[in-house]
Amino acid sequence: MAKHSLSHLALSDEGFLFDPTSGHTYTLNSVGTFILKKMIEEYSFDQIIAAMIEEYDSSEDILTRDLEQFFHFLSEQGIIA
Amino acid sequence: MKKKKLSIAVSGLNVTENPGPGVSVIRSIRDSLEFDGIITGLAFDPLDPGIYMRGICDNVFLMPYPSQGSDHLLERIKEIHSKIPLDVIIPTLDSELDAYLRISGELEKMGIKSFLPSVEGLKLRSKVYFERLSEMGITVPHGKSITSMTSIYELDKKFKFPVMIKGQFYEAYIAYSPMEAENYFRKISAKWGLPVVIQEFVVGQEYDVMALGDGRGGLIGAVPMKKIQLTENGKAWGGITIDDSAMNKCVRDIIAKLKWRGPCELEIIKSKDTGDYYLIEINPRFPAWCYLSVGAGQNLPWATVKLAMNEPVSELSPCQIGTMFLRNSIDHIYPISKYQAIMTSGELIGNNK
Repeated sequence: MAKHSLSHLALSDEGFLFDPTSGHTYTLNSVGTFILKKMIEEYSFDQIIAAMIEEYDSSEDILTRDLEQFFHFLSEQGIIA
Repeated sequence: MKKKKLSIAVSGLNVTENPGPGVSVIRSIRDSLEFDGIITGLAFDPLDPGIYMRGICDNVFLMPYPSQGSDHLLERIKEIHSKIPLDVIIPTLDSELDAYLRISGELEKMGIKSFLPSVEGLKLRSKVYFERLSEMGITVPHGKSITSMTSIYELDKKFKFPVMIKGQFYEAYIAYSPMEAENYFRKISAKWGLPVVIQEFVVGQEYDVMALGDGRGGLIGAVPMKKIQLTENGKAWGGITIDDSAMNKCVRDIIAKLKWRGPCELEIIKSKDTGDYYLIEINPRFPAWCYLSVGAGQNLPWATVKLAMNEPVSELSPCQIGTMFLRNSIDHIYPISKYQAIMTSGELIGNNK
């Protein structure tokens, strides 16, 4: 989980992400957009899982795996430490 | 706001795939709400598109090539000044700066001002002296100037392949082996002479920063940009302004240590391995994408004009992040009469009428 604030990220409701530090842009799907919004709002890992369970019709195991994969992607891109 | 009636000359009117900065500098000056005057374009080639573009140059003069020396340049400027009195000249090409520095005293006596880098600054930014910047506490890749092919086979004592092989003025290649380095050495030395510069290859994300130094260590403004679209030669065809506080600090530090005077473009790589910022190159003039500075809220070309006029200029507000530029390439139609005039007389006066 990111230790530093992600409030500098510009994320639109449609999933267009601009990282002003690196200049990189990304297009996220609706789930990615949902998760990253929660991260920007400084939700913890467990709080994001709880929000996802409420939002999506899927098991906690699958959502946890998806969230971990998404964190891995963000880390690879240098968006989170 | 009181507008300034100024007569400004700007060079570098080529707007090809690898454009000169002149047209962008002129557009920036014209966009300033403080400017009210005329702009004279100084072109090298009768087919420089900036000569013909509407709303760019009020007058255009063909200039002697820099290789003809500073005497020819001075004579030509005197001739132009007798027809169109000039207040300020902004040379925009690396190759012109040496000659302009040589004649800057004469220009000053004629009442023509400019805001050029110092001789020392120009020397330090040259590729041959570049590694010495590390002695000033600026992080630069490890480098070495070589004059013979045999030195290439000793490189692996001090360098790890791949390495960058650079001409002393232009051109750079990545060499993955001594054999490849030898090929590039031949190619570059035949074109740009000796020495050829070997530089450590830093893996990471490249950024470009346009900056304006006041010559006393102060930074008037800086616009950091990430290229988002490239030409085949790796030149920016599109870019976006960014905000990286560590890089901004690095830029401020470089300008302060060099006491950089005038505009410049810094090429910086953020190392993938260490996260350190390496200064790769300093281009001692505006980049061709300098109109982005206007879009991002820092009109650096206009600030340069004011500095040339000895007007106080304080540090500009931070640039607007996420401002994007994209170039395009479209055909324009022009009457042959303008081409004929510039070909036969070397000048176009009243070009914008």
